[in-house]
Amino acid sequence: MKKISLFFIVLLYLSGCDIRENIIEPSNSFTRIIDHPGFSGDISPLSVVETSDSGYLVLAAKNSWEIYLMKTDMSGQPIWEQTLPEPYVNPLQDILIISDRYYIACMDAVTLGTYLLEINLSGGQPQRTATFAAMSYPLSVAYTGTEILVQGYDRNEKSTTLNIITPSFELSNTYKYPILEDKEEELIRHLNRTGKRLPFFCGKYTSSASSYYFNGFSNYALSLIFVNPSNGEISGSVSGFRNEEFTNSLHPLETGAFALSGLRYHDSYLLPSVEISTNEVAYIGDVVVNHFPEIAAAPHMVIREYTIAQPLVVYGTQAKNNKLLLYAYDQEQGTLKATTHIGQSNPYEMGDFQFTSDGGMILLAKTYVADRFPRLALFKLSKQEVEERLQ
Amino acid sequence: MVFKVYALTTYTQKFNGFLAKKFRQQVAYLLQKKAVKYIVITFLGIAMWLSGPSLMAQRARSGMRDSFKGSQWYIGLESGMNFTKVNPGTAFQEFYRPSESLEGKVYGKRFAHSSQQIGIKAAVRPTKHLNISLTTSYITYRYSYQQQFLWEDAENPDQHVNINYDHTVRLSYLELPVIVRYYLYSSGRFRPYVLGGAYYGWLVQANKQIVESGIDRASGGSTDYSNTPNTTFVKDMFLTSQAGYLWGGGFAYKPGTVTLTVDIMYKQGIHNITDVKHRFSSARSLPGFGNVQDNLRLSNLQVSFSLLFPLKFLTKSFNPVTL
Repeated sequence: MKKISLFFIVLLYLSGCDIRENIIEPSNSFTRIIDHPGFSGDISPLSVVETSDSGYLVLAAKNSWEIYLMKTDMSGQPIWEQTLPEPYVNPLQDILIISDRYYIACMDAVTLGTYLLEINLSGGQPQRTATFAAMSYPLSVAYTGTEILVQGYDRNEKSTTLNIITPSFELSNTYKYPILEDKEEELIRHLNRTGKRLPFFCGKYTSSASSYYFNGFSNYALSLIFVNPSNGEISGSVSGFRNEEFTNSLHPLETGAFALSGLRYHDSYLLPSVEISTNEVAYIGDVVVNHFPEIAAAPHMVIREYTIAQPLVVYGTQAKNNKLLLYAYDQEQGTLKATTHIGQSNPYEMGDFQFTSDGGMILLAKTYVADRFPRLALFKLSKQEVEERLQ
Repeated sequence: MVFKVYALTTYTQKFNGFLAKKFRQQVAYLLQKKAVKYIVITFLGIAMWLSGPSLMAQRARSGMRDSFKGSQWYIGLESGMNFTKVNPGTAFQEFYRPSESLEGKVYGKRFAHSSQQIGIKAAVRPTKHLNISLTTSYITYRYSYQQQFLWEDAENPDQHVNINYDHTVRLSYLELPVIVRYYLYSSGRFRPYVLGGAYYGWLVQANKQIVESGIDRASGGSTDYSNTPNTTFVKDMFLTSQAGYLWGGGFAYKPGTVTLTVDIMYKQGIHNITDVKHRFSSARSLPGFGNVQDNLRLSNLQVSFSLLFPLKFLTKSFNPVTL
């Protein structure tokens, strides 16, 4: 009888492990749909970053181009939210983290100039850090580690501008690149979200030689332009075809290659490791690609790096069936390691995603409640879940 | 008097022989299959439990014959109905309304949902007043909750959308309750008793049915609608284990050789059955909203009927040992 009793005790002890271990920090994994009981208001997610207090700062465009900010705690519970008053409109895609401070770039509703605003994590009205009245129609912003780049549009000279701002928030250079047709109407429809959203972005590529790059209008097309940082002259480009065929997103890799996604009319393709000469002119229509019929038409595409045993390139976008899609590629080989989706019957559109300091992932998306009301959705995936999904 | 032990000793000897030669070779393979693992382990447990009478029978033959008459062993079938109540703890949900608190889940009426259980029961009656049983039962718990959402046009309150998500959860466990019964009257055909014990269960299956219904007064009129029920497997949402204690009463009726019992017991889970590691992740792929599980403990009112056969007989004509 002692053996029998021992058998059962050991059996129950082993089986009961999950009861004892059924505890986890709530910040490890969560889903939050930020809802309100009203009908009104459209909202488009733009950016999410993990803050120094382990919470999250969310940036979105509300009612086409108003600026919406939300700060959450580490479990995704909103601490504060606010919609900035005019003249601040048209928030650019990314939240900039400069010396542990949080900034956004936006536009003046009347003068079309550019502002840099510092976000106070404890709430309250953001501080206006810098005003660039002559920097009209800001379209994208990036922090390179040594300078801030702002891509804009000069309506008077009909040109794309690339503005270099020092870390002390002073404009050091403005380079202009002519556009051979009037794009202002398209840009306005892009900004107020009544027309096609165009993937404007800019950044700095550093390999054997450094180069600025931006994705913007040049001549007649939306093209990826590489710029010599010493004089602002175009050193190379990957030309698009008008605004129908172009680079959709780009991420320079440690290997010197690029992770790129492109759009050919409505069809997306991914190039997880591609060599691009920054000193040559290429045409994106010449690229031989695999098509991804599951990806939604003209989607927002985010590219990040992550390491699970090996460096990965992770693409985040949305599927035609309204799920969030993640593709993980081996960074060196460019081979697909995993695909995963989030969501089932509820629709989701990709806003942004970041890997967090605990090895997990935070995703910002747009969903529709009651099949009609747009709302922000935040997903936090634990490290274990990320590894299961992407490995 | 000469005691002849027939059925039990023959059975256990054959079984042990079989176990030694063939059954053990299959165990490793079967253990690889999760669902089968629990059944095999449970079956082995019962076999070992049943080997007790074999030892006692051997003792009886070697001189301890009086003790053979001092107890009786039973095996039989059990079935019945149960009614579940949910004890919600900390609430969780995916929706968050910064401007106002959102109404949480509303759980169904207490013990309103019935389900069934069926099992094999082994019992020993070591004294006239005591009965100790171990049952291997397949039991399903069922509970429901509802979550309601209202969106209202601030400028025109007549325009609103009201959506209900009705969730019905079925959890099926392979459960091992160990129950001690104390007979208030130890003789006669009708013997009432009180009982108490503990149980441990392994989750075998879990599914959830979600029905979305609502009132749409925002699309040019007033429409009530209800969608087709959507059933999905949700085993990841719950812990594999469930443990608790139980108490209650019942009676045994012994019309002849067999014994019929009726147990009425209250079962109380002692821990949260929601798997907190998968609380949100497993809810992400489910339809509708309100899928994030709260912390839950289950209570259960159970009525079981058993048909028990004695295992110790005194003669070739199968007169059982009677206490």
